[in-house]
Amino acid sequence: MNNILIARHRRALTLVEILVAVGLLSAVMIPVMLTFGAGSRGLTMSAEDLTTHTAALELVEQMMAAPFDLVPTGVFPHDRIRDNQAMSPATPLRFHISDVPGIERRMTVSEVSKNGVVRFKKIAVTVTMTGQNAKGSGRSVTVKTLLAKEN
Amino acid sequence: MTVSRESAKPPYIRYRGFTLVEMLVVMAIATLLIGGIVLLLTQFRRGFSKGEETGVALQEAGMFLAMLRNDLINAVPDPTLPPEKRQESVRATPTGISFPVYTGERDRTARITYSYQPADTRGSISRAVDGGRPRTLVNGRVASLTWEVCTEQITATGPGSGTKRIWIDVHARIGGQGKAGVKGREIVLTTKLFPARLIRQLN
Repeated sequence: MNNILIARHRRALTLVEILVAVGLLSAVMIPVMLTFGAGSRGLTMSAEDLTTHTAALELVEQMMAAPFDLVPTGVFPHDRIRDNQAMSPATPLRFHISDVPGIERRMTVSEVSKNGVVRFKKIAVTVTMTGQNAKGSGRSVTVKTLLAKEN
Repeated sequence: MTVSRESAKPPYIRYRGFTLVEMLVVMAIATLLIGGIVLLLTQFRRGFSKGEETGVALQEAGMFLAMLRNDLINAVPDPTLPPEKRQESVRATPTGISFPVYTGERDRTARITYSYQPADTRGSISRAVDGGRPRTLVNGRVASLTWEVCTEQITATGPGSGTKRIWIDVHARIGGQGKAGVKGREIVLTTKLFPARLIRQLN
């Protein structure tokens, strides 16, 4: 047994092997990472929902609490719905609106008649998240209700 | 039998040790990797705590506002007050708001009281029915809370003259700094609540 040679052949990893390994690791880790982001987004959406619902109900409730005959009909864009601003020339009622940044309100009030008599007023309020610095999500919520003439 | 000199030697394999530089490089890389992973996990853990705190604050803020709104919708004029003073049925102080509500049980009314207990760090809000045991709605998360009863009477001539309107202006900041020093997102509630039943009965 002369010159026993122990060959220790060590082959390096090829680029393809490394790329496959990195790809597999990414495939496993990316969904894990995205899970954390999804949780944060969910909270942001919940906070936006609370803000938009609160703003929509504020407007709907004050219309519901007003005397039926004084509730004006028509389309009320965002710039007409201002705090302490008259709802319309036909009514002495004024809007009472909280200052909430990053939202836009829009309201539609229409009459529902039966046999020529106005029985209901249909109120639809849409609140859209515009966000500050135009970075809002653009999500919106619409609250609809019927106001009945009670007498 | 002759044994050659070479074959008498054990098979010789030359193993070279790691140099100090190699060890230092490996240790530095390992430290960076482990440090990165620990930092990442710490941030995830902090993010979870923050998210949990924000979620609880959102839930408590939403529940408080929903209950107050629902109670105010069912608020009725205080029968113990003379008719000309019944628009004062909703009483508010910096630490509490109280009003009678229609319960639907044998046409009786119950007095609902919301109490705000301010604290150095974060206060709490509770609700009690007819002076009973208060139920905590927001526990140690209220940064600030104000509620103000606003009234309006339309004096202009023509339709609607004399119409009385009442609303409660609510401003609350809930969350932010939670319990055990966990900092979450602050929920800002700014709204006006209209007690529809009370307004109709006053008009």
